[in-house]
Amino acid sequence: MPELRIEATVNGRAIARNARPHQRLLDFLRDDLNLTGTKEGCGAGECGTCSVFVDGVLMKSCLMPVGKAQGVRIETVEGLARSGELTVMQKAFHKTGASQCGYCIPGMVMAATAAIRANPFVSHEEIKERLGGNICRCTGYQKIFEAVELARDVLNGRAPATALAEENRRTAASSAPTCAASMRPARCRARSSMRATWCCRACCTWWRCARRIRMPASCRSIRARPKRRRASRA
Amino acid sequence: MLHCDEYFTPASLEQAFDAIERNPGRHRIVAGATDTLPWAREGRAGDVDIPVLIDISRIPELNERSVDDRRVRIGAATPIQRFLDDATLRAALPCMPRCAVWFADDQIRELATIGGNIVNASPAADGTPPLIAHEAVVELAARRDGTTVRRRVPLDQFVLGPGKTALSPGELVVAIEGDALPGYGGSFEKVGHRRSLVISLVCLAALVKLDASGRRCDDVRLAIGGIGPVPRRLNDVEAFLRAMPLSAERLEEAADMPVDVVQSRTRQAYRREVVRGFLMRGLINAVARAGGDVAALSPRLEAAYA
Repeated sequence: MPELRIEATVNGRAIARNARPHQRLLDFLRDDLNLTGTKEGCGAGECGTCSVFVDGVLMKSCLMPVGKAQGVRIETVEGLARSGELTVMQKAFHKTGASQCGYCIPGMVMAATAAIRANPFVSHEEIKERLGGNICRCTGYQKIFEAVELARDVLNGRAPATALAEENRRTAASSAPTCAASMRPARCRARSSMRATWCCRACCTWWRCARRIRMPASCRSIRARPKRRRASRA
Repeated sequence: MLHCDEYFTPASLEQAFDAIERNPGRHRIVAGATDTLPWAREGRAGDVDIPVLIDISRIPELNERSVDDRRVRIGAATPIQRFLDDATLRAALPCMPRCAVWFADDQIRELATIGGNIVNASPAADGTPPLIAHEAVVELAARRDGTTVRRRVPLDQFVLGPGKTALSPGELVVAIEGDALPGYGGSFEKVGHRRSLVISLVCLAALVKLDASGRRCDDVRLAIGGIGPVPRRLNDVEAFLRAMPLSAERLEEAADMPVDVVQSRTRQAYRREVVRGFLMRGLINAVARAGGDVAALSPRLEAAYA
């Protein structure tokens, strides 16, 4: 099997590994580095749940041959906060209940983070535009936009940090860990070679884990669609 | 799924030609690869076996850009996002930022290249109509008998049909050169099923330069895509608009002119309606951005189309 040597920085850590030349960056991150927070939804660049930062620029890892990762700096959803912690954006998603099945959330958090990095005072319309490449089949987007606006206001000082505090119904993160990728309640510890963290059932990589699930049915429909008719081919 | 044995990223044109010569008939050139990967999937091309992928996006010459008063030269591997970020390009190519906003989404614009958009030769390509309006010329390079041979082809003669271009085997698009048009008002109109990530049903690029009075067009350029096998200029409408000062009636007359332009396989009646609306809206937006007073032209028009 021909191999391709990839030397890159992933979440601040230098890696040097052999990859197969036909792999996408997404496969490399998930299968070889066990960074399963980055999800595959449609696999055709339409749903955005595979978004990662490449040299600080948000890109879709399902559209990127792994050869393009040579020498770059990659940041995935696992690398946004330190292990066991959440960024303001992730806390805001948790607070507003923006995550339902959680499958699109890694991409949403990444796109929202990119929007805030580009403009700390990003407007509602601009948020919509920036998240235009990400699809969610559960929430209807309203709570996602609320989360991004909440995080924006906390980060730029318009709202106090206490705005992110959970109501007492949900106790502190230490007793009920949250998956840093999907913002769903965590079930088990991820056995990632890159990072030990709590993960939800969709992010779990341990093959014997009884709680591990595959992609939810609602998202599967994005992927397995009938033979595509190119309607606009004139 | 895509299978390949080698993914080669040449650092220069010479290395790229070496790789092409080593693998005749068993390679494919990619730049952003944002069309190749979705193409090699179930439902479209299915399992595809390409022994060697040659990624030309890191060749320095393909990433250069230079702008002078007359011409803009952009490397073929320039990502679409640069048309939004780069102030020099924005000023010289008034249509392109508006086209780039409509192009895929934030993430894909950073990867997808303008050269790739042209070479794919989709009838609905978003990048081609604005560049045709800028009278773009495509610069090609190939290695013939050991020496690098370059030639230049006007873009409207380069795109021959759906997926067909004037590219000969082993040839690469190196750069695209177009007219620098600072001071022009530009607009790009597009319609599809949704805002992001949509293939154009119709897209129209309009460029207008007004004279000192603000009522007469020094120059008008219109190009349209999605309506037939290849994008095209609307030369007769341009000549009609240049001939006399602008007025609401003349704009409406101009919008009614291109009746035979729609030659698509589907939804012809709908596309004709859209072309008419887009010509009005594109021209009104371009005139407004060129400094013209659209409200004075006709308040009714501005309310209806802007």
